[in-house]
Amino acid sequence: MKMKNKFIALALAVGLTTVGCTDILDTKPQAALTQDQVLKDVATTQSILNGAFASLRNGGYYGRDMILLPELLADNCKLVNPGDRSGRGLNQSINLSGSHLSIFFAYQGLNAANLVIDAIDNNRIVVTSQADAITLNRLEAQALFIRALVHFDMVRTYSYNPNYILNGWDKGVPIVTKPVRSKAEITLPARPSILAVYQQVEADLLNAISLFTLTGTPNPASRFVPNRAAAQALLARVYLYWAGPTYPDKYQLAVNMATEAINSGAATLSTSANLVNNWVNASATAPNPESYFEVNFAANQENLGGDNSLQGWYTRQVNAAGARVTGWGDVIASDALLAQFAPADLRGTAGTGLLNIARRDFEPASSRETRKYNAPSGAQFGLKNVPVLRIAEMYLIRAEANSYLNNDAAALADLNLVRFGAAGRTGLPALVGVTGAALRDEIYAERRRELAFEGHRWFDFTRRGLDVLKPDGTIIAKTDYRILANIPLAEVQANKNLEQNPGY
Amino acid sequence: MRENLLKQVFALFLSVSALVAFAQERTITGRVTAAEDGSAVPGANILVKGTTNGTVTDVNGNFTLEVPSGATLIVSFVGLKTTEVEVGNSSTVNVSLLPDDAQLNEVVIVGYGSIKKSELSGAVGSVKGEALQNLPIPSLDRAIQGRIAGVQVNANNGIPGGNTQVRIRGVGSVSGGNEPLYIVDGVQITAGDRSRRIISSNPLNGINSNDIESIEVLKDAAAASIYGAQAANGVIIITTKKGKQGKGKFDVNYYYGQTDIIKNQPLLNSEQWINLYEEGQRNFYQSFDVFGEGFASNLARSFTQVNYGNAAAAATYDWQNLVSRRGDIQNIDISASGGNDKNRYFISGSFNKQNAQFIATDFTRASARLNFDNTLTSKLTAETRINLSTVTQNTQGVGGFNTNNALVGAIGRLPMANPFLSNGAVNPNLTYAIGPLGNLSNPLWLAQVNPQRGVTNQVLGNFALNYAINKDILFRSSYSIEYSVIDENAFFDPRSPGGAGVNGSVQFLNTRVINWQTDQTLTYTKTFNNRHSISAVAGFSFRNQRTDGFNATGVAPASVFLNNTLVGTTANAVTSVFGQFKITGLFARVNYTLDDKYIFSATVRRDGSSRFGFGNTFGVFPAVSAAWNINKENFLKDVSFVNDLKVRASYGITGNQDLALGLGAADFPITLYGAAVGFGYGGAGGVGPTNLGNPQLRWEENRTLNFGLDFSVLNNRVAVTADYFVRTTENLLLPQILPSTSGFGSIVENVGALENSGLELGITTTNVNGQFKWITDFNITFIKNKVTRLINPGEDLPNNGLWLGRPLGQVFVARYAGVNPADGRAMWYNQAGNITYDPQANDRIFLPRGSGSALLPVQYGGVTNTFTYKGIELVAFFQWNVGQLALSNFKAASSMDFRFDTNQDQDMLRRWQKPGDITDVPRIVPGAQEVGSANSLFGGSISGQDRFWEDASYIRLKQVTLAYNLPQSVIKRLKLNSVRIYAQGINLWTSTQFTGLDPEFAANTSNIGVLPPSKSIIGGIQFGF
Repeated sequence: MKMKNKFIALALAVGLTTVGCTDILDTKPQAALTQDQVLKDVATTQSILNGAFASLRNGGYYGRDMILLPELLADNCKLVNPGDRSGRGLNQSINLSGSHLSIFFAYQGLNAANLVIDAIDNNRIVVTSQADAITLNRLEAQALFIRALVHFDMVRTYSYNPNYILNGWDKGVPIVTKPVRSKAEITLPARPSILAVYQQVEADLLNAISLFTLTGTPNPASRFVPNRAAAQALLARVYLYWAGPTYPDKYQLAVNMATEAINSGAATLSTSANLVNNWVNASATAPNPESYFEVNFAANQENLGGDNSLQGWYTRQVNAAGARVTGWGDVIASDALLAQFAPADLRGTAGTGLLNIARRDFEPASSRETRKYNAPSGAQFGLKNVPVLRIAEMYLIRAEANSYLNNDAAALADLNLVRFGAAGRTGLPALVGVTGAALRDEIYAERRRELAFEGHRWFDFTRRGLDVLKPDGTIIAKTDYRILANIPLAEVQANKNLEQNPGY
Repeated sequence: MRENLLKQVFALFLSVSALVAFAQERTITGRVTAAEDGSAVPGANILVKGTTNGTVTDVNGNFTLEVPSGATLIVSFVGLKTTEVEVGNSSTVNVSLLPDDAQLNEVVIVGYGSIKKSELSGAVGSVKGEALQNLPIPSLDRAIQGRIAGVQVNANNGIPGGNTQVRIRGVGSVSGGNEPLYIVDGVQITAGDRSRRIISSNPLNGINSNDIESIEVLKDAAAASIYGAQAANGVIIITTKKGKQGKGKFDVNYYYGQTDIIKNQPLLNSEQWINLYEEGQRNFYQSFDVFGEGFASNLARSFTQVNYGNAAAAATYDWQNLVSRRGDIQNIDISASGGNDKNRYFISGSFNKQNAQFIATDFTRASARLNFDNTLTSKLTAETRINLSTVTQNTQGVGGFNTNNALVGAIGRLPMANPFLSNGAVNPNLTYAIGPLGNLSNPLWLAQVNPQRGVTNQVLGNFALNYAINKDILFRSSYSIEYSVIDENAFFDPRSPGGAGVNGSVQFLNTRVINWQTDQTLTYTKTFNNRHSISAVAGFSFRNQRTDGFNATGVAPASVFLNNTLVGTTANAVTSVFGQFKITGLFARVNYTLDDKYIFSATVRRDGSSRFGFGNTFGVFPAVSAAWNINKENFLKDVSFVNDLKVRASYGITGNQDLALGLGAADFPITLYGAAVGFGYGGAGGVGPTNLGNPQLRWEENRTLNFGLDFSVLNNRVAVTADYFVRTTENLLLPQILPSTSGFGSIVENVGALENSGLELGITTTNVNGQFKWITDFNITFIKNKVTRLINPGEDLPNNGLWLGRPLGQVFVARYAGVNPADGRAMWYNQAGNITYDPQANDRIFLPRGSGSALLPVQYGGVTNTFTYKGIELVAFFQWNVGQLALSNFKAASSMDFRFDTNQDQDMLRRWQKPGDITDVPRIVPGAQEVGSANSLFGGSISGQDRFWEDASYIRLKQVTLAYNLPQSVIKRLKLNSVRIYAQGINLWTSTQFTGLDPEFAANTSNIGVLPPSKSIIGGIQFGF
């Protein structure tokens, strides 16, 4: 063949094979999966579910804000100035309009849970054995737990308590139970009634509990993933929030569900010998024995770091010379909280207890910071699991619900378990003969001490329709619009059906 | 040799002319060469005068032609003077063509070919390699700053070899890429920083600027649309030198220079700082009524003295001086070029080392270039272009408020802190590091213990075969590869803040870019009837670029001296990245010129890209243009002072396939599930949805209308090129925010539109001609930019900084009203124009200052004056930028108040002290906020108010060169071809009102920690032999 012809042939060959057909443009993502590579079998379903668990680690959610801000927004904590002087947290500490919990983004993590539930419900997961089938039950139950948790956190942040709806603002939060895999599946959900959201949360948790309870379903022993007891504990909390003048029947349900959780044996109450250690040395392999569910921060790269982790906000690490090495310790115990602790209370003791001397400039020597989120020795600063549900809370839920059911003796017994346990827990003695309103006050005071720094304080005001106290004695009135968090502007703009809370 | 040839030809003419009358139709052969270097001229047109009979020379410049007796040949070739030769009765006619020095016949490189400047109908700017000779600037893109109208260049970072921003005719994309396509000897290169963490790298760093023959910038759609979906931001074609026929020439060039900082931030000395600190404390305590006046003063004094000592006795250490240094630059390059009529070569090697003006920051490049042109057969030639380079960069922090950044460290340190121990060693724990930021350790120490290094190895290669199918049609088959490997390595000492939380960390990052292409083209060139000249090109191209890499971080190294290995560390994070795109295109262009007067050109390209959604894989990008050489018309023919007068018009469409990189939708327009660390849980890997597919995703489309005018008068003493353009971007990619309930944050959609319009003017004048010669080259660009459509009709997107009818980079902030003389509080204006202490979102205004935006100036340009006298050459090049807004970050961070225990700007000396003081600097308060003053974003922040936004206009003496070429008489005695001695200064003088470290920072980026450009002076010598 002549040279000329060879070239023309080559040109034509290359040309025809490369132009006109889109095949040559095929590229395949190597570092990501496409739709047809996920949710195929048990393993690929588990990996999507892991993503849903992991979404809880976000610093805007259980990684930090969901724990930190309810304290800072109310009266347990104060922002120290100079802390890092970055001004972070300042707006939340003074409840500036619009500076609130901002967890609406957590709906994004819900998509993974819905993907799992949808795929299992529609039998799209290939099941090759009985073991696969029961594993799917567990996966679905865990996905339902995540869905319930997110919806519940949303409704308690963005909506009134169903018993204390103000000005008829009966707006729940969008209920999202369908996954989005393509643009066409995007919906613009409106806000249903508050009750509807509680009912959805209840249904999902009951469904999860029953799936965990199905014969053969492996109920995970790990407290880092949702298990049956965790679902029961969460549902107990949901019932306590739900219970009130409008829904008095929920008190008994709260008692029942707390009892189920306690009786599951999944968590055990600390004693005075290990109360502090169970917090301070709880690690990625050994959670706090009191926990039903902790958000797991296992790997170094999951660490939110010296600046942004809970530990970094709550404490600072100093070197021998007293200079800060890492962490900022922006948020420390308020004087009002410190006043709650009796001298004997381990939870209020600095150094050997759950508090520490706050080592920062310009603050009085009496300043205290929490040790609850200190990384265990040997681990990176800031790398610490976050307890979400604990057995002490279950006893306090049962005590509170029982006191409203006028079962004062049972309530007092549970309260004393938190204070004294079987043979000493917090250093406080058991109470004797307290009843009625006084008992209830003791329960609430105990709740504040026991659950301090754990993201309950704001909600303990708002769920009961109370004014929110601030450390300096001022209040955010229950009628104040700032009781409800603002829905981020971008969300309202992106979803025309989503109504903003009043005042924003 | 050359003289002999000319003599022979001349003798031939004489004898031929005597025999004309007797000649008959017969075959002659001959060869056409370029008089300049004797090289063959392939493709030269040969026409028998008065007939249509003609031919074209082959690749060796040879031709064979039937001629009648007494014929005269007209020999022509682009860029060479058309010459008439009488054949006589000789059977061999060799013709040597002189260069055509008329500017009009300059050849301009365009996409897939070249074109006579007089036949150009699009907008193309050009810089010759000589202008870039010996510039001590590592990357070419920086070197063209200010030299071509319509091209704006900003440095992303002043570290040598740092990445740049190049904007041709404004900014055409919000979410997608805005960088032009680079084509280096046929290799298409996507600009941008390929480093992922530690260094700031530039893919053009590997090219030695002394290898450059010319740089062409294709600005309008008529010129660029042959590159279709990659051409929306313009195309920059870089052509390197090639060998010329003749005796081998060697060039050896060496220069050495020094480089220094241009300016320091004016900061307080120790006495001033301590006194002001005490004043702040006093103000603080006085704000509590419980303290008496005297008590507050005493408390402030004792507190200050306990912590910082006595003001008057305190020594001052100038930290900015400590972290900067007199850097040096060394460059040596050697080239050899030459060849015979069949094989020509240009080979060069270079070594360039720059120690920057900041400690622990340097740049080293070694490069080798092999350019070969080989004639294989009478119809087949081969071109080979290979550039090999290795670039090493050391740096201390690339920017951002980074604890490891030397500049941040230096400006942050208190002036009292002694950097050295009594034994002279660097002090790791500064005495005055007591504040909350006290852990910003000694930057001198960090520079020692935290090495940060990047190495980029790159191969750029192109191989092409040209085959003359017949005398009119040339087939070209071209293959290109770019292979780059970027290895980055960083260490954070366990004792330093970056490593403290993790007991030290070692990071390795590796990035590979494999980018290969092929272009197959057919070129057809023919002139009919001596009137109709057609040149056409058609072809297809395919490009496949794949980027992959990994990051590995190990923590807790066994020893702090094991800082360059993962051995002995605990694995902390290991991850890899992957991206790929493919583009395939079919294209064609036809140029038609009638009588050298009327020029028409049409281009079309159909491009498909893997980045486009399945519904829109292919796009068509057409362009048309026309030009009229008015001076060739009869009515102007006799007007002798007009040498050239041409009007041009073009319209066309180009695409931007560089989609939404910033939005994470980089390469795959489908729903993706990622397996990032963020999805793993409890030690098990996890997967989550990361990207919601958009099957309709497509290119951003630029429609450019261009009107041009070229004229030159007075023997080409004055030459002007003017262009007016309107560049409209349609299908602008914008992130459509999705509700979180959808599971996704946003989806990228082609919804918006924006417009850039402007005027470009280039004027070249020969002011004095003769032995003393003075040439002025001036260019200026006026540019306007506005957003014309966003997601919803009539709705702005303030959260994205986008407002309809306003430019990109619009600054929307609260207005600072100075200080209340009564109490020293900062004041702002509210919406109604009244004073407020707490400005809110709706008190903001659009900053009209300078009437530019943070992204774009109002006008920019450059002027070069070249003076030559005998062997002496003086070049002065000024470059300016007018109207761009920039945030004076460093000054702002060091004049907000005594919020950080860091040094403060000297502006603080003007602070309010007592009632009645009129000043713009508020009362000093330690801590975050003055009681009762703004704690909103718009008062409390640096960028949310206009106090620190400034007009960053500047004019800068970018380059001044003084060179002396030794006279021939001396050189001959030295047995050399040329000797040139030169000195060059870069950035020697700047005029600006901007109070930050430098006005040249990249647009709209925070300039905290970004090393500013340097000024430098070099001296060198170049031998040719």
